[in-house]
Amino acid sequence: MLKTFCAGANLKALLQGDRCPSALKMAVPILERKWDQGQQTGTIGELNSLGNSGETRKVDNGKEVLLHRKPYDNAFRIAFEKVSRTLPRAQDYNFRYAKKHDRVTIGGKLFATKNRSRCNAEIFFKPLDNENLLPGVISGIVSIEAGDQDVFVLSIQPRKPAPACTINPFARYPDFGAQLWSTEFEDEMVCIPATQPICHSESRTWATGVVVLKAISSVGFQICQFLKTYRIPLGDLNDLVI
Amino acid sequence: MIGNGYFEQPIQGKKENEVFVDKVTEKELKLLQKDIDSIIRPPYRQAPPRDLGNPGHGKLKADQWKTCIEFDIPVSVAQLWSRETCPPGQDRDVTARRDKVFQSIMHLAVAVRWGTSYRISERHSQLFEENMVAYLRLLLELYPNIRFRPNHHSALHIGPLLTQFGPVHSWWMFPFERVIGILQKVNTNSKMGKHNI
Repeated sequence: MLKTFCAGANLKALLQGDRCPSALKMAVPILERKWDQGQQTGTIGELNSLGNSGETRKVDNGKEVLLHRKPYDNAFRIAFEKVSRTLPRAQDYNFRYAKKHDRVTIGGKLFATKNRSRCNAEIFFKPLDNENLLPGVISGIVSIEAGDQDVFVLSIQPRKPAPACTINPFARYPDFGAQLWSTEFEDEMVCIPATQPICHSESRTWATGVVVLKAISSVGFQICQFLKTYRIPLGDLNDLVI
Repeated sequence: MIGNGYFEQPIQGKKENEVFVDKVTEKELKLLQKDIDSIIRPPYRQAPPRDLGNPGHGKLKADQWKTCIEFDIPVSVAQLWSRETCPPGQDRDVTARRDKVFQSIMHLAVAVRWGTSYRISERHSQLFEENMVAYLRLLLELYPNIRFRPNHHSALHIGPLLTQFGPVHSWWMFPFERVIGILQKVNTNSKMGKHNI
């Protein structure tokens, strides 16, 4: 069993590495279908995530809709650039045809709109114009076909900051990663390509109008850069002992 | 500390209440259970039992422990026992002691976070170790009669192993736990090696 496990780990490392031949990379979806077998719980879901970190896959075919171009076009343009394609011209000045979805898998994890599944819609994401992770809920998932694949864009409602008077015991432990935010959402929706860093969050009510949230980092979650984001919590051990 | 002393058993010959003097009250336990029930989390995160702390739910699975220490317990203890949230007029010694319990749990949670990162560097290893040592020192300070278990000792070896073997996901025992779970569910005739079905 140990030998099998080690062989599997080596294969996983090979498939995730830059030196992996492209022919083998193409075999990843086939291996996944064979190995995954719908197991998404706990760590086994993470282990089954082979060389597909960040890869976006559709769950359903979606419904055709007319989108307002203004909020979505920039995100779609960037998403198309990431796959080395050009965003097709829209027929209309204000609107563009796209497909609306309820669910999408990103890096092997299922994300859904808030109306479909709240627990899969609560996320932390990185906006295009900000380096910080922000919490929000997914309000929409849309895609446009680009050759043999679909390019996805998520529309997200970011949370408002918690009231300034909120008492925050987690401020002493920034490395723990829990943050307090408002239960209310910003009026303006944010659109990001599905290729932007994104992860699920755990949350619960902290006080009236305040929620406590913590990002759940996962395989392929490239912004989990502790070295840049976090600072050392401990100076002198005695500082922490009252 | 919770229910039947899930965190640690008392040393031999000592009664539990001689080692763990900080008890969670019935009201606090109910609040903790209510908090756990209200958490919104993705389905792949295994939630602890809704009646956490009652002996009836049996042993927690490794995944449930992980979820507990990564979010559920630290957040609830922060709300109940941290010095920022303590009720006004509470005895200062009680507040200080409860805050130390909160600190110890946070150090453990932070150590788990650094230790289970998907990227590992010397700094990850160092911070894991610092937090783990801080956690164990606070345990000793809070419960002088505690006798550390082999797991406490081996936790101090994880830091160097992180830099040698890389992220724990490549070498932790979760895959083995899962295979054990699969094997336990296999029907047998209870006569191992005698008769094949």
